[in-house]
Amino acid sequence: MKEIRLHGRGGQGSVLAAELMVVAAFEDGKYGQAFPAFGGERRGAPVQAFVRLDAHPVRVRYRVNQPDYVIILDHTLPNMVDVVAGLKPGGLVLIDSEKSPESLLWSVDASVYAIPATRIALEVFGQPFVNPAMLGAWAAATNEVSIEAIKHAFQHRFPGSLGEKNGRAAQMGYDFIRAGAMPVLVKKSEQTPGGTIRWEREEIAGAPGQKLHFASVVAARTSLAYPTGSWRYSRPVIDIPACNGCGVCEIFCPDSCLVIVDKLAIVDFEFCKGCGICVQTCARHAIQMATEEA
Amino acid sequence: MAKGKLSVMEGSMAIAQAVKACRPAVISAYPITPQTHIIEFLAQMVANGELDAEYIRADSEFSAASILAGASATGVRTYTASSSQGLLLMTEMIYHLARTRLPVVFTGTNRQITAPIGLQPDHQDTMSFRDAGMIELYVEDVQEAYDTHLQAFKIAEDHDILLPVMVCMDGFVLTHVFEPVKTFEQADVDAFLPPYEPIHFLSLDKPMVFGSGTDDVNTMEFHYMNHQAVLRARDKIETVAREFETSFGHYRGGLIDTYATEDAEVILVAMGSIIGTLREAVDVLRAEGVKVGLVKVRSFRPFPAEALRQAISHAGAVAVLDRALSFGYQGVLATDVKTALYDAPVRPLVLGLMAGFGGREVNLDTVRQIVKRTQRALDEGRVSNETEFIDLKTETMPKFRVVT
Repeated sequence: MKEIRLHGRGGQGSVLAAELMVVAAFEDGKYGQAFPAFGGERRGAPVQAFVRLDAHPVRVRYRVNQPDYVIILDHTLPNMVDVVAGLKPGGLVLIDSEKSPESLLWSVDASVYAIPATRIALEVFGQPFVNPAMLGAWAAATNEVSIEAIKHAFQHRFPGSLGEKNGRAAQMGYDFIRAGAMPVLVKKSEQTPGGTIRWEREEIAGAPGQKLHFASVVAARTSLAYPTGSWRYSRPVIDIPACNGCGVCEIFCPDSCLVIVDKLAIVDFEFCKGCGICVQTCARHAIQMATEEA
Repeated sequence: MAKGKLSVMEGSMAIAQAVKACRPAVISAYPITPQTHIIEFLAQMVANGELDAEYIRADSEFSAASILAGASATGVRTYTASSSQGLLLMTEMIYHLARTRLPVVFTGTNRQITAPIGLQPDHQDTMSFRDAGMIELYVEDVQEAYDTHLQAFKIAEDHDILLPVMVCMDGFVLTHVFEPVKTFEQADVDAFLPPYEPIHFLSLDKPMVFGSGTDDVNTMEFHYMNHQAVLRARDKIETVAREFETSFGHYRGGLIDTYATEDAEVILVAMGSIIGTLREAVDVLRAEGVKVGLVKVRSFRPFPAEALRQAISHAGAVAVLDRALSFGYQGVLATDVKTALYDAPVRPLVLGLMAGFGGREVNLDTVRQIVKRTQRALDEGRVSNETEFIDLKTETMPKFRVVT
């Protein structure tokens, strides 16, 4: 049995990719199962989906904790989420990235293919639909399923010209590997993922590292337990000369992660989820969103 | 003769297709995760004209169940699905449906109960209907969920039964999984499941009151007749599964299912989607020489006491994996298993274990740990009546007085 974990962001199609892997494998005569991580997923938040493929019907039903393959649909995720947790020795990682994987943070030594899936998607669709190129590359790198079955799965799901485009993007991902792309051996990073923490971790029930309260109740401000900064794919950038410290953004920030210090807006990126509300509230247009870089 | 087409689809879609093939006249529901996909697919089928049914989006689960009480009382086939808090909100009407003998079919997509709020599957929601007078069937995979929905209408509407039936399937694990599932042609389903022929229904020619007042004069008699109908379902569930096999070529049904139990020293007893993982674990442990077996309880009500006695009495020790707790006593399934064994001439040791409660993961390592624990009890020759919580994180809880 081969076990696969997909990491993406809500709305990016991780669950669809997982589904189509099983559809493709089924066409090639294999059995499989695909399912999402169970939770209230949000657009932009890191999400996971799981796949198992086997020659026999798959019976076990719990999340994939020791993947043979990890597929990462967003290159900013490794610095925020431990995407290679439990990766089997000799396991393979595929990430959508133009950069060398060595510049990212990894919790174990791993072989990583960097696939230019966003570039392929922009060329084919004009939009960053990275799934087909990633699955095409996965098919080429692992031989678990045929590229024909991957293309059929997309074409069946998206009849007509959209299906053809998906097939073309899948073929380009496949060809990228077949043209001689090699995996990079990355070393376990010294650094761990995470950013600046501004809030004090007080001794309050339900806060990270604290004991539970005896009732199903947590103290106020325990959104501290949810470092939503990992949901962000763009961040607010403050134009310092333009900011007059009026504090309107502070009032509207839904997670209180934007505060005025010495008449200047300061953002806590541990919790800023990149919603962009602050941009809309700033009368002086002193805040702009910038795409997150890995 | 084997029929049907095998294809990969989401569990919720398989359920929607099964329900569609059963031709319900009225569907009423209120959306709640993880049931949502099922009723979205059905609403779409009605909107597309593929399914000739009234789809009524209610303002709450209580209203949905009430609407179906009215619809079913007119003598037509009815369906709904819900989960967790939504099922609890239906509680009042579920008791009413059972006693007025209205054969509404439910899908209970299992999800933990609030508080604390969460989305993970356990059985606390559906097992709270233990005493409502309805039939409850628990399934282990999408194929069984599909098959059991076809069977559920036939069991519910049988004139010897006439009871609401709930098909319980673990939320997300089975509703949101994509896997190969065999679905059948409409004509084949029609041949298996005839139209509902009600005995009692609302009509201008013959008016009736559903749920009239009786006080102490007749209440016990109605309860007794309801009880008898649930007991009669023990045979009916098996009969319908055999009819299903004749119609479609494979057998998925019955009150229990056994796996490698014949010579087993240790037997695991459980319900729902955890069964697949347990089957795998049994094979792995058997290959290592461990004499372990498995009993799946498929029908929770009626409870298969006699079948269980036959399946587990010879074992040295039985571990019951419970996903619902009767707070202040024991796991709900463990209590029933122990009761069933009381009359047995030879009784195995029974361990009551909370495993998968609140959605806590049960993987192959967890099962290995459970089997080891059960073997230890067997070696010691005794168990306590205390319920053990598998993988309980004692270090996260504040200090309090622990009693047994």
